[in-house]
Amino acid sequence: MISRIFLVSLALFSGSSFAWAEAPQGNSCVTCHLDLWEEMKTSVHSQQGIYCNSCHGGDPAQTTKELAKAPGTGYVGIPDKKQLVETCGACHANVEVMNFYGVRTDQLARYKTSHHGKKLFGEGDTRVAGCSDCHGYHDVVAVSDPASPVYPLNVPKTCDHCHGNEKLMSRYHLPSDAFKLYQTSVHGKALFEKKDLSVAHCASCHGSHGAVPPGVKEIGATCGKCHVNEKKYFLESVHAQPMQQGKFSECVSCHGNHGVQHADKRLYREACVKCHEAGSTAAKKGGEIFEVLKKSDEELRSAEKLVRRASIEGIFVEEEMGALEEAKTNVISMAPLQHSLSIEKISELYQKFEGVARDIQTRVLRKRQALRWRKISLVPLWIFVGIMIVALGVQYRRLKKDHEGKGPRG
Amino acid sequence: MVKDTLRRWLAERFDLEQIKGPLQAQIEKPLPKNVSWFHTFGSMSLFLFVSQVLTGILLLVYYRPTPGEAFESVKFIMTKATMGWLYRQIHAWGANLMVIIVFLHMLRTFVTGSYKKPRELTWVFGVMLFILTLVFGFTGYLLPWNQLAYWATTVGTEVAGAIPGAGEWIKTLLRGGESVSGETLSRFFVVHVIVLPWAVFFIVLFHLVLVRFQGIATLEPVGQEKKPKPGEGIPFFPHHVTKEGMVFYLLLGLLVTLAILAPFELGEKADPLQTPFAIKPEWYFLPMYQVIKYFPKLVGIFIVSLAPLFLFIWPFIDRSKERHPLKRPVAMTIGILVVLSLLVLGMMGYLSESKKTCPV
Amino acid sequence: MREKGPVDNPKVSRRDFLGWLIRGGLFTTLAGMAVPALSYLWPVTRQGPIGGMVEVGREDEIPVWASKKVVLGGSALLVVRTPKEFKAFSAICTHLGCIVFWESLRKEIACPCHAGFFDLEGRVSW
Repeated sequence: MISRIFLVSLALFSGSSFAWAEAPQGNSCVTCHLDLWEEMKTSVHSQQGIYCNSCHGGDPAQTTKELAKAPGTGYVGIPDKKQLVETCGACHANVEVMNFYGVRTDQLARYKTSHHGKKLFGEGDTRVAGCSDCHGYHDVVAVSDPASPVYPLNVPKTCDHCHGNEKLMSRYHLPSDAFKLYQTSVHGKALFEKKDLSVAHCASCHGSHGAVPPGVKEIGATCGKCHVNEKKYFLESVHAQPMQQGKFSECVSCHGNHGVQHADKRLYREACVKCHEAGSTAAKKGGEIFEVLKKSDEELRSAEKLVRRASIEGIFVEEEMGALEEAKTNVISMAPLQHSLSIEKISELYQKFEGVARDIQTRVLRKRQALRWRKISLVPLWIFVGIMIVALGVQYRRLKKDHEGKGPRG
Repeated sequence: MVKDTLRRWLAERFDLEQIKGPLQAQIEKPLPKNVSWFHTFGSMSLFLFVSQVLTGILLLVYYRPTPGEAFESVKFIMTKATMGWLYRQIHAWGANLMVIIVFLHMLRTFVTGSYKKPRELTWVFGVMLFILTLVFGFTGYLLPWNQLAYWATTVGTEVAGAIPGAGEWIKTLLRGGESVSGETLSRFFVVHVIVLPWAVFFIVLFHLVLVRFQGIATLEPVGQEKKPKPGEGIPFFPHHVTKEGMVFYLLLGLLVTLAILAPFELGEKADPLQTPFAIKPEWYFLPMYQVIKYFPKLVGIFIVSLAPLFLFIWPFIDRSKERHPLKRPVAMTIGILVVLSLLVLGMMGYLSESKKTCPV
Repeated sequence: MREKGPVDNPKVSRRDFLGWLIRGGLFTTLAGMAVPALSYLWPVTRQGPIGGMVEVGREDEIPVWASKKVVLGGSALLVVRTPKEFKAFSAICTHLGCIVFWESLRKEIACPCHAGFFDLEGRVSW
């Protein structure tokens, strides 16, 4: 019995939109509003047999409009925002109802903590986003369905519907360029161009149902969800305390937020001076770190070039390539480590890297030298060959002379 | 001292006089006066054969003849084994030089008319040796199991398969299957390492016995050869041998120099799923490779197989009694034409399917 | 008084010198061929030329639940010892190619670059 339910649920929750629900028989809503049924039939609700009256009220068994929408039927028509949220919540926040579907039930509760929810329930502001603004209404599909407006690839555009509207946003003194910035960011490029679904999008940092912009203190927690090591090291750095005091916006202060670019060591030149005076101890420390990073980048590049050249010269460099991997790891590890802003730690890693790079260089040069020795050995070889040829030649001439000297005597 | 003790020990057991006589005769046998520097090619061929056998034995110690290990074992020889690189390069260069030197020896024999009566059989054995040298090259080429080897062998066996009638059968027999595989490697390995060395050894033996028995040809016409009297001519040992010693050292120096200055690359491991661009057979097969392009498949095969046949029966076709090159204009012309066409066809084969242009 | 021949002459004559030179040269040539050949034949490693088996460490070198990094065939490998067996993984992280290490506290393979974790089957774990 349980396995049957499981199989049925599996089939129903396959998340594919090809399974269209069959139009319910004897449902007057559908009979009259056939165009709306067209929207509904792909939705996950209609596949579960949840039809118009579940949200709009009314009696689908009645055949006339008056009777179907009569006062006692609970007919609501198009619900207003608050009604809508509460209607969705009537099922989706009810554990007993959702138990069968195995879907979580905290969305409404979270929503009420969000800025959207607070504005809606607290101030009655219906311009904020409600369930249907993000999930759709008639054509709701699972989040994992690529057609869903909250499928990771679609989330930024969905949020942008409102948060890109300058007039709307200006009422709340919010910027409206987040989406544009996001598109240029490293996260946006990964999402839209590389189709990387695991990358950060609006909901990853701001939350989905409980959307609250990360405050200064929580930014680290937000970025740190994925960038674990960077956060770990940052908390060891001198910036951790000002962050606690709310004076420093953890990651955003240096990296930005929506438009975050690929981190480059140039940040040490550009970001530090935003707070520290150029020439100050702090800025100088940043400069030191910059130098170490620069040196390691250059040395890594020259090691790679050396190995590549050697392989073109015909030297077998498999072991050196393996060592290059190790060296590269050390350099890449500097990226999270540098957030500790500890020149000691970074230098330690640099020493390790340098050891490997130097070892690679020694080995390659030794192999080159061995090849050179081979070529040099040709000199004594040819001297020897020359002596032998001359000696044999002299011998030959002597033998011939003797032989001819012996003459006809034999 | 040691020599005397040894001699006494042997003399008590064997009739040394019986051996000493002929041995002495052989050593002191006078060679005709026309024996020149060009007459060292023969012993250089032998030297190269011995060198190949010796370096081959050394390589065999570390080489593994399976597709999974062949390439890696050659890499091991070239990188880890002490002086392994030297032996691999000497073996590879030795193979190429052997083809050249054997050919030059054949050419010298042709020019001096030494193949004529009574030495036709010596020539026939010699042509056999030349062909076996080429087969040595063909089979050995596959053994490193790199891209070059794999695909050159594919092309080569494909050509064999085009022989009418028995072609497919021959191709399958050569490859040990439908395509070049580990089976092909095994077969080529067996031929290269056991079958050919012994075949060449015995044929060289016959060849040398005949040469020694019949003596080196003079430049006098057939039937009018004058045996050099003792006192005339040059003794084989130590005179001619000393001359050969000089060429030997030169060749040795050349071999090692080529091994160091122009080493053969190992390249990439064979990938049956990826054919490199413009695969060609080794240089000594290029003339044949080029000729085949000009004729429809069957005609091409026919023409190409005419060449070795022609070589074999040449002493029986050329009935003229003259040996001196200047007295044989027809033969010399044919010879020059053949050599020229080999060079030209070879060059064309080398330049074809590439963007290279003629360096001339 | 007979002429002084080369035998009487105490100084080594040019003829003898040449003979010795040639003989010495031939001996050198033979030695020069034999000696490298012998050094070539002396085994380079404890095993033969290729994989099949290469010794990367001893059992008592790696305690249980510890690891050892090994470079083999031009690439890095990670050897981990569990109570039951030894496991070997490619040490190249599948994300950006960093070299992973064994995190003995979590009993997982970890990547120092972006904190990726892998279980003992080599699967990505969170």
